[in-house]
Amino acid sequence: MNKYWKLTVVFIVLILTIGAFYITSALSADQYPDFAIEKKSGNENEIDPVVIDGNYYAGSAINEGLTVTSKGSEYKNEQSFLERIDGIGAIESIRKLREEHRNFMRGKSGVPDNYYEDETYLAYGEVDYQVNMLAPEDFRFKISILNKSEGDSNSFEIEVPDSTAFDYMNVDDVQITDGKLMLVTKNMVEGNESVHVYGFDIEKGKMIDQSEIASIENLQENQSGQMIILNETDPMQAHQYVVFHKSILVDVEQPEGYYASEEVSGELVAYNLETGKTETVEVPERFQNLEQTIMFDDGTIYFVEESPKSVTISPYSLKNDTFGKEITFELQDSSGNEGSPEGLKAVAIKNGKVYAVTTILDAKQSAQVLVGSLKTGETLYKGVLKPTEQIVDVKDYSFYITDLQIK
Amino acid sequence: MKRYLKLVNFEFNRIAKVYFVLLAIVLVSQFAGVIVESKSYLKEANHMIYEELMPKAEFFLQYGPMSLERVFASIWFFGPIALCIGVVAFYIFLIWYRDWFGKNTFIYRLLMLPTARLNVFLAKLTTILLMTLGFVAFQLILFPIESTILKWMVPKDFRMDMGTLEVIGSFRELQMIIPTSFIEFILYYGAGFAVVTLLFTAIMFERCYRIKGILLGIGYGFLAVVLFFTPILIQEFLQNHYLYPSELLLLEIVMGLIVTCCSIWTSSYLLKKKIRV
Repeated sequence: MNKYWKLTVVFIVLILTIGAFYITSALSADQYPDFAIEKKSGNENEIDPVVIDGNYYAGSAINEGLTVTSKGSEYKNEQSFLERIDGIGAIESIRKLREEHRNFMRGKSGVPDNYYEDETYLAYGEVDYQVNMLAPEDFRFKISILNKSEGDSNSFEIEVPDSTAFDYMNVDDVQITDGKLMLVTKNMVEGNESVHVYGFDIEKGKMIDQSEIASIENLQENQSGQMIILNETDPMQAHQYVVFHKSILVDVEQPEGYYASEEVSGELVAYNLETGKTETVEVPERFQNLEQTIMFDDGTIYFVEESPKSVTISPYSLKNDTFGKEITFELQDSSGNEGSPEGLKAVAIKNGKVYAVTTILDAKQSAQVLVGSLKTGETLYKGVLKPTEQIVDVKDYSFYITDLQIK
Repeated sequence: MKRYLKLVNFEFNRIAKVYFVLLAIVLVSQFAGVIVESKSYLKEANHMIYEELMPKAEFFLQYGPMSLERVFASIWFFGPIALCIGVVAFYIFLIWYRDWFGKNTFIYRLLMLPTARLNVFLAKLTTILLMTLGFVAFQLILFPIESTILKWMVPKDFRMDMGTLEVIGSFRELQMIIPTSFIEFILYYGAGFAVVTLLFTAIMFERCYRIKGILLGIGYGFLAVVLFFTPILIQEFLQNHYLYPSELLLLEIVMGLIVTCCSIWTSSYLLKKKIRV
């Protein structure tokens, strides 16, 4: 008997077991089901720009992120380990930018609001500050502009004027109009929120002008105010307006004894980046409710109402200052549970089309996908998101949609 | 190479008895855990369904099905693993000090062997690594057996069968010991290897300079840790996350290799020139 036998046995068992484990582990990664959007009616090309992010769950152990497009699904774990750690938490549009402009995107945030992109430019703006013992200080604009056609980039830092009393500052939008870079920011000074626009000369890297476009004033004692920039499906694209939802909230005591905020008045403040003019739109009373989604795309404000069975959209055009016709699209998850708290939908609006999807699918129900035209009210596409092959071996799988983006 | 293997074999045989006893403890305790937990689950089920007349469906809703998860949450399972970790951690020190404080200063004979003294160092390092990975492999072998025992104990309606991967996936703590991707496995155990080398170097310092050596060892350890984390520290300090996570990871791997090589080189130097018996 070889005198090394103990060592040899331990070594061989170790290599075989661990090797076998990782080989099965690598093979099983391909075993998650593929998902695809199956057409029920309409034009298939309508869903080409749709990117759906979600998580696949099975049992208590499996939780894998995946992305579904018209081409099918791809699991995060199919990417290489290094690709995966770079992409953690990033949404599709940021992932794409990081792939295309890897060097420019170094050290930049994953928030789409900080970016602007058109054929020529990719611009980035944020506010950086030092946090000291007492208060934040030394607020600075950090701006980078990439000229895509020439391939050179230009970065500069500028101190934020009059920022000594600032509590907080955030860049909500970045735009370029006629060679002028504009940062729309929300500033918090002594508890008061206001929205400002700062303009910069791209060539010289200097600040040209600044102005306040909205603020919350004259609050009563039990009131609080908030200003939230309206969701845009693609905040990076060029747009003529920025729109803020300004609402005054009041604390109301509930019968159970706790306090809840209720909106007492709300208005939309639209700032025209080209003319520098501000206009306000009163939010009709039926839309004054905190769960209400208001979206904004291409000069039109959309009030979106969800019910378990449908999505209703009321457009308001900033160009004509009028409400358009209310449009309802039927969209119901196949479980038919009315009023189920999970019956939520992901909705996105882009280029006059509405994209909506019910966010849960499992063995009992598939997710419904809808594309509708907001100009004509027609349903352009209807489909279902479901596994490409029947999942038989896993009983309790589910797929939760976390994000809907339109390329 | 042959000298090195001989030394590894020698070092391994010195701990082999304790090692196999530990494996036996893991096996007995975990098997016992499966049996005890299964029995207590079935007893509970019997009590609730036949005495409290709870409908079966409601019982499932409240208690869930029996699975290995339940066993793993118990001391039967994690107890012996913790014991093994403790023993290995302890043995990292003992593997050196037993040679000095044994009956006859054994280190004297080890150092007089007609081979590079670095081989003694590497053999001890390899032994620690083998012990650790041996435990991992053993645990991987136990999973399917435990699953089978569970199948014998609990009727089909009451249990949820899980494969090894699912078992590991459902426990965060287990994923630290057995990560599910091979790259993570290499990263985790590579980092562990680097730490053991660092500890060995600190021990070498102590063995060379005694009391003063403890301070030198701590100083060396501190320097090594700082050097290793430099890329991260610089980024955090400058508040500029210039590198992508993947680049940072690659840089950290390089730093880890540098630190480990430094440790091995320092230890080799100390063993050759400064060691006291």
